[in-house]
Amino acid sequence: MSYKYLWCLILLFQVTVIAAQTPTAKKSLPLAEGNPTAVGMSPARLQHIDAMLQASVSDGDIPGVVALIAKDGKIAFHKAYGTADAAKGEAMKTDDIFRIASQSKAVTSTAVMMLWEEGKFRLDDPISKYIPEFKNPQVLQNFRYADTTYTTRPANKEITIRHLLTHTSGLGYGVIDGDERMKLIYGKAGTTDLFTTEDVSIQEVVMKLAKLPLHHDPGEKYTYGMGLDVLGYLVEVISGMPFDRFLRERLFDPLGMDDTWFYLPESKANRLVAIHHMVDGSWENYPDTFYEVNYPIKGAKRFFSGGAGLSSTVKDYATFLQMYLNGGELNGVRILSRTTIAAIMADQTGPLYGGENQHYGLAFGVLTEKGQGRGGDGSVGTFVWGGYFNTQYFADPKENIVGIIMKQTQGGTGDQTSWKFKQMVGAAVDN
Amino acid sequence: MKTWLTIGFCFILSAVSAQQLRVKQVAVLEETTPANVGMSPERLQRIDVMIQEQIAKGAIPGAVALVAKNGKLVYLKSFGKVDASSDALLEKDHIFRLASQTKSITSTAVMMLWEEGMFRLDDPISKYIPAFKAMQVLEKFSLSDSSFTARPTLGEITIRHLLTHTSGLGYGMIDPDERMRMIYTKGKAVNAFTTNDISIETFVNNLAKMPLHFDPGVKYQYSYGLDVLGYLVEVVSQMPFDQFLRQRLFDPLGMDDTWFYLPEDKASRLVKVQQKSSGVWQNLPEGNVLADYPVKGAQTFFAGGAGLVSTARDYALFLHMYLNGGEVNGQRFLSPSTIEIVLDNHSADLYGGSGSYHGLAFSVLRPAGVAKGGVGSAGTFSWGGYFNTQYFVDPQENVIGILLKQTVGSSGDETGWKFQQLVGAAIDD
Repeated sequence: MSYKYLWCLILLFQVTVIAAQTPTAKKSLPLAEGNPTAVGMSPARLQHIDAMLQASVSDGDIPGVVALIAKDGKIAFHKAYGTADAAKGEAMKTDDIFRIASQSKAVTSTAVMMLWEEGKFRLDDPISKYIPEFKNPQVLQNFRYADTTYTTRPANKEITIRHLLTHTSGLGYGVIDGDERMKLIYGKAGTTDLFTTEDVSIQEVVMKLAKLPLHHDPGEKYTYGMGLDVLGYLVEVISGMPFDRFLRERLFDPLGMDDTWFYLPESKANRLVAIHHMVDGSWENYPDTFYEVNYPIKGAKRFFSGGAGLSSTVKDYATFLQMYLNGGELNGVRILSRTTIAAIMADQTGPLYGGENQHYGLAFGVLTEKGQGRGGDGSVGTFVWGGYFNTQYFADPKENIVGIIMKQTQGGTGDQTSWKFKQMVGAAVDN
Repeated sequence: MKTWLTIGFCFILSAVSAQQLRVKQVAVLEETTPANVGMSPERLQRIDVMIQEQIAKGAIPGAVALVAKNGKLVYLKSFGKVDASSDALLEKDHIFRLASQTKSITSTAVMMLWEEGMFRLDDPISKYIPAFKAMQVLEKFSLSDSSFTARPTLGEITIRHLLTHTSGLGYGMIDPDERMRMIYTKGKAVNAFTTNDISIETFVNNLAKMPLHFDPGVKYQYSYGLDVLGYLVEVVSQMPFDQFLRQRLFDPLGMDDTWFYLPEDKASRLVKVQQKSSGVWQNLPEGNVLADYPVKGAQTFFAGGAGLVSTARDYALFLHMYLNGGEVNGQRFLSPSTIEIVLDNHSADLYGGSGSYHGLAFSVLRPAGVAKGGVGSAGTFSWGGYFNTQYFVDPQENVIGILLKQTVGSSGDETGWKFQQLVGAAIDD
């Protein structure tokens, strides 16, 4: 085959990729550097953020950090501090790549809603309609620590797609589950809960998961769990594509998120930030534990965890959030209709999520009016989440602001950058 | 003869002047490109794919779908077959039995007279139809002879009760309570679709002799309320109900394909009712009243709850009048303040739970209902009909969606929810 034909094929491939998303008359520009003053942010106040982050590194609260602030689609702040890898003595760079863990959840729920927009399913459909193994769910009743045997009773209803999106299905979270019994049950069943270098598919894990007992009847409580992992597999079932390819072709390529991957291409592997922990007052590289720290760049690279598997940069993740702030569109590509985003941001779980300051949408925490009144958390409607390795983001639709701060640590560190960053970004609005 | 002509002329004049003439003249529901009104042509295309899939699966034999935004028509397509016994294709201007989609038209007629100060919504209906004085609530029922005992109601049935299905009246053959079905049958109060020579006056007076499910106002129970109100329109306007609708609503709105009984030259456009039997779509047999009533028989029964037939475009013209604040092409049908009242909550929490409430013959989405997804913005009003037709109107997005099929029985049809979900997702601005 000549190169000419190969190029034709590649070109054809690109065309179908673009056609998979719908074009739109609206054309917001991709995120680009901008002058803070031009978008109504105070350079002097952004300097305060710079000083705060610098101090956090020099005080040893964090080993290193990358932060990004965008307003009105313009990047007003994008800086790196400290070290990316203590063992190698590498400085952090603004385009370094972080394990975003639970920040994967919003990406997965977006994929789910893209298929929902095509009328493929309803949010209140039982998941068993698409993954039959979830038929006849059982709730944990008695548990014996001696031999980790347990009894169950039938659940009073089926798990729906909405339950899975809102952590109300009753599914547990394996090794990080708050309930010791569940941890043991999941461990015994050999589920892969978060990060792995093993040769395992999400289908295999979801099949195991479907047989395990639930914390409670579906819809009764909010229990952070593996719902989004199940939904990653749902995307495979509905779209007929591997989940990683679906995200690449339908979301990441159209949005230009070239640094967001389950498993990094070799050419990007050296940008992966090391995980650090504090040992005797200094930051050291974190060792392999229940997962290998280098899971994004080594091993079988087959497990596409919709709940925790992605790695990304602050700019890529900001691009994803800006798409939401633009009402579902970026750079002439429509990912979601703004009417869908309205449903995503609505109160999905009522009192189950707890507290009056936030309600839970479809895989985001959303600030309520009461929450806005507390101060430092943005305007009403601000949506947020974070990840296991100490990454955080927020997007304020009223101010059209995205704020992302990524670190890569394990264990308690006295890190205060998360709340300070958010509070100071709000205070830097100057218009 | 001359006198008769003069009288006729005066009549026409007064009929026209009944709708206040206004100056604004705009083309109604003209076609435009989706992009012109902020909708995505690619995403609207998904509706084609979805309906074709459902036809291929055998879930429906055919459908006409319509989407309008900002008063412009962006989507009107027909799919599948109009008749199981031939290869004839469904066309965009084919005529469907609306059944319960008649209800909002009747309630509109009621509100037009209400605007003239003819009555109050909380007036007892007995003030205008005396037979409804001294109604009774069902107590005991004897299965052997359909006899029953009843007690006097607490309070009278009001016009508002009839508009909101809280009167306690039953619904004849589609009543969920078997006792009521038997009592209504025995009492000759079971007409919805008929070829018999009966007037709504006779029917409504039979109905008034029936016991109620419960005291007026205490529950929601889908009912003949709008049929009673069709007759109220006759009593108050002194016109046959079909004439009232023709002169006051259908003619001024240009709804020329909306009728209780089709004129001969339109009869050929009536879609066949199909039902699935042994996995195959078949026409209802000749002689089945559900198939025949719009074109055969006595044609004297004007059911305000179920009797009309119409096209997707005609029904869109009607809904557009609501979206346009009660006025179309210089004619005012309802005041915007009346529409606000129509779409307000008139049934407390008796209907629809936390997601929606019942207005004056519409289901209306509450703000909390938006979280469900795929059901529009807060304030979206909707209803459907027995022969598998659906519509919704989203006032915030200024969108109308209408999906007409013509089937009875269950067939795994999912086009209703899919259509609304796809229309919402096609908004692209």
